[in-house]
Amino acid sequence: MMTEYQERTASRGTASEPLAAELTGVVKRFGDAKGEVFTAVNGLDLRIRRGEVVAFLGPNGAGKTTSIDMLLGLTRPDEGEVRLFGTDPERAVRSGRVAAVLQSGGLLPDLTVEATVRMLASLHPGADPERCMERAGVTGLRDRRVAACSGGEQQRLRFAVALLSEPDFLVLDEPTAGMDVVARRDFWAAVREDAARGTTVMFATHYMEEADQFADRVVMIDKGAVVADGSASSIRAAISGRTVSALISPYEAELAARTPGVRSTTVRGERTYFSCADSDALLRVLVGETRAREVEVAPRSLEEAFLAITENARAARGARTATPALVKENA
Amino acid sequence: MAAVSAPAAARTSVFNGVNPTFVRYELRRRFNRQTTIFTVLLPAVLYLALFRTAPSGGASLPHGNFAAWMMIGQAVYGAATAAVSSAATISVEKSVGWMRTVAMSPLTPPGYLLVKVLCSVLMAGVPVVIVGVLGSLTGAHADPAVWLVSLLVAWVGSAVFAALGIGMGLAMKPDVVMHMPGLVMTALAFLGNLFIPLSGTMLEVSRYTPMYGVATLARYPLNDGFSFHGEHSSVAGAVFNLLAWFAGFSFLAVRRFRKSTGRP
Repeated sequence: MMTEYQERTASRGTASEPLAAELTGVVKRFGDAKGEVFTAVNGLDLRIRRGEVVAFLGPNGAGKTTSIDMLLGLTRPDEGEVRLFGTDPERAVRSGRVAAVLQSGGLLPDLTVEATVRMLASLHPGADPERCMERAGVTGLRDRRVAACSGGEQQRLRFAVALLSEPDFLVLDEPTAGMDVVARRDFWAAVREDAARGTTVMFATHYMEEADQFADRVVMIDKGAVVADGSASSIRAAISGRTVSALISPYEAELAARTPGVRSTTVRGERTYFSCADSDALLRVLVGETRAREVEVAPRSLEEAFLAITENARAARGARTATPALVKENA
Repeated sequence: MAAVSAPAAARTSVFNGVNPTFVRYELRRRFNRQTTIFTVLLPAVLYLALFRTAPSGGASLPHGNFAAWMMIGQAVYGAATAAVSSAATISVEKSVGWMRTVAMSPLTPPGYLLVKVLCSVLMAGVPVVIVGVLGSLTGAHADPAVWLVSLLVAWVGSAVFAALGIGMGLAMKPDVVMHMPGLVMTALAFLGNLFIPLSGTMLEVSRYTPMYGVATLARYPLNDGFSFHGEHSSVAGAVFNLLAWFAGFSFLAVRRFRKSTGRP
């Protein structure tokens, strides 16, 4: 009894640590061949509590993969600090407490699915390769060579490998890229099952639907910094609304833009685009009071939502730190 | 298959995560067609082609015959080629990002290198045994001590080329490394006095090449260090050659490895 008690407290040494991940002021720059410096991650602050399911959302090139590499200790940040369960990321990942499904690569093409799982399982004491294969749904593929697996099948294999150490925290970098609809649904079902056991999950994606359906919390990043952070529903509200576009004279466009609910107006080519919360009101104005032609209504796309949110954030940031940012760039 | 049902308690990660299951899968990967040709067939074929090609003046060896001389040479060549064959697998591992998968597992960098060296040494034993068996069947004869010491040195000396294989694998792209080790090793074997008895200037050149050290040490019990033309090679020179190349190749391998994991 005594030993059991001691073991439990020992194994819970870091259980009191409420944070699964903590990134503080993380900066990563890359230099290209010409000696130009590109800042991929620019002062990222992020705290992930245990048990949370977090979607990491951002357009391509926003710094998602670089952030994840630093989170996993695969890349060292130039500035700032990364902690996983209160220790350094390399240790947490090596011990298997944190496991990851990376976007691509990482598998040997000449091995079979089963050999891959068993080979890596041998590195984790007490791992159960059969159960992990089953949970990731690759049992039926056991004799197939990795090179012969589709992108989705390889992704499920990576998931099986990530499960080997029974991690407390799963990091998934665009896990469903290249999967068809069915594979995507099956994959999320498997992850959901894992999250239901209390595993902390963070996944990078650029599908808003995935973030919406699966995450408790959505963190949006752009240009290597967090621009929005909140519940999935609050992000959805921010990106709700429609885009109305029409062929209309600039003068009339200005009048129509005064309709309540219109957030912004942009002109692209011949068409004028109104981003608005209440498209019905605007439509009445356009049709009833102007000579607008070829009116179209479209739901707001994720790209537009990104643009709206990130532009707001950029404007806010710009206003606050215009001078220091300039100084930094010169230095 | 009994090992599968072994209790979980036996599967603990000792020594940086290195374990028999991992080594077994690693070895299975190493024995592909390319490496089998170079490590198993080629030394055997070359031995059978060359064991009767004694120099015309008559080959006088203090502790055996010419066939034994050729047998030891082919054992050194086969062991070295087997050891360097890690290059192909390492190069693929690097290009597909397996290094990252390993970096996220309990297998530490020294553990990874240990697995590579261990597999190389195990593989190197195969051609040594095959050439040894062929030698005994085709009339190679030498003192019992020569058989034991020479073949053992041929086997253990392959460690030099295990280090070279790691360095080459990390430095080269997979399509290049497919054919490089076999060709390089064959050229080095020729220069290292393994295939045709060298003398004069060629032997002087040979003294600076990587296979000379192992070859000279492996044959020392057979010929007391004398070539068929009476030139003498010292043990000290051979040991120096071996250690210098081993240090050089290891330095290359470790430096390349540090770079490839991306962790300064």
